[in-house]
Amino acid sequence: MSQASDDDLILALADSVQARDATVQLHRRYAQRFMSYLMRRGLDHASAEDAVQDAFVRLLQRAPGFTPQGQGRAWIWTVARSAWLDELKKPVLVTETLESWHENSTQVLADVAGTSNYQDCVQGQLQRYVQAYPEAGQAILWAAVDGLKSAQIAELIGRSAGATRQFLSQARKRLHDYLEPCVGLNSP
Amino acid sequence: MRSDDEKWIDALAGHDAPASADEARMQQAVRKAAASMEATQGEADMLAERRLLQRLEREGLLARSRAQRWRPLRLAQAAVIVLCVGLSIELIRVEPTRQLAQDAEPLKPVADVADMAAAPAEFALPEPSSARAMAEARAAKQAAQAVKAAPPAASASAPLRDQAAGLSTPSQSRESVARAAPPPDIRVPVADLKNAWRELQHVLDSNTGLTEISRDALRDRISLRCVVQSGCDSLRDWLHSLDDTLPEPQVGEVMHLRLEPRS
Repeated sequence: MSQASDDDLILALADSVQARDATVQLHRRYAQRFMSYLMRRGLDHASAEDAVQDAFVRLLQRAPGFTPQGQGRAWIWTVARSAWLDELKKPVLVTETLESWHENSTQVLADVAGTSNYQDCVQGQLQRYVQAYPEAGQAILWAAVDGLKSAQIAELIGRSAGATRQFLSQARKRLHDYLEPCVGLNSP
Repeated sequence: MRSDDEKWIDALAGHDAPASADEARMQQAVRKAAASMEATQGEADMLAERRLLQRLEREGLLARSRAQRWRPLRLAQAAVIVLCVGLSIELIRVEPTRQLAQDAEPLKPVADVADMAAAPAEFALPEPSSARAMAEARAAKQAAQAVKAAPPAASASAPLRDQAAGLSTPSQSRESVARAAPPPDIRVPVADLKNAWRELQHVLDSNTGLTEISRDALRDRISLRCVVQSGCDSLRDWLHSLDDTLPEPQVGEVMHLRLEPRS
């Protein structure tokens, strides 16, 4: 089961015999990511851990209704987010206001001069970006790490179609702003 | 119709081709940096994992682990083992009971037939090896029957065990044992102890209907039982040859004889 896909693991969650192993596997894959996401959204460690548990409770509850279509990752994030929205009762997952995007762009350039390596620069800037804009950063991570399509990300962030287009446009532009100082640097 | 931004996101996700070489380079670097950021940090948090599994079990979403599932059965097994060990100890404790009973000679419970059968061999009289083997076999058989047929043996010995364990006073134990005390030994006056034992052994060897249950050579004591009338007759004849006032053995009845030199 160590090489199982997310789809396989979700199916296994619905099987009483395999559910324990599948839960452990999924926890090892996602718990840290859930924790990072929730803590970026302002939760302390203990609250984030409770929220992660809530997410796994919801995953087990919803697993019998899952249809494997190779979109297990998107499903996992969707179910987890729905659990957090229901359980947290806090404005933790409130969407970022677009106004906050118009900050002073000089802040973006901070610390870039410290490196001459393109990849290191991108890494550092992406971290700053994710810290500064958790939701937009999460959208980038969903695409870059999980391979989620724009439509799936739109579903996850829970905005209307028009608002999602605007959100993705702003997220992309802002990321470009952050990565712009790295463009002239050489790859190792 | 997808916007440019949506296409850009899909390209970052690997579902579309990047718009340019620069975009491709940048997206590749972002993917690498993002993967590095999201990589599992060190060891899995085992504590969090255990807490999660416990909660899921509590909420009935996960079956108990195999070890927990088998716990009731293991407890039952342990209980059976404890019971068996306890029973064995009870049976083994009959040995100290016998010792105590010997110390308190007049109060010795006759119910300890099994103990008497298991009396140490060094107390037995010298006898032909075949006869000894037969006697031992008979004694073991009789002891087994006696233990089976006489459950009060354990209860009769219980006070002595309690006394040994310091659970009751000696006077209480003596009273308890006295209540369960067997009939006194039949005193058999003999002219010569050695000859008398030899004669008795001959009677035993020549009558299959007469069985020896136990023998205490130190105190010239023997427990016998005739299982058929012919055995009783032989024993009666021998007893009456010594003293015709001695009681007649009855079939199935255990007789405890104490050979005493005539004064």
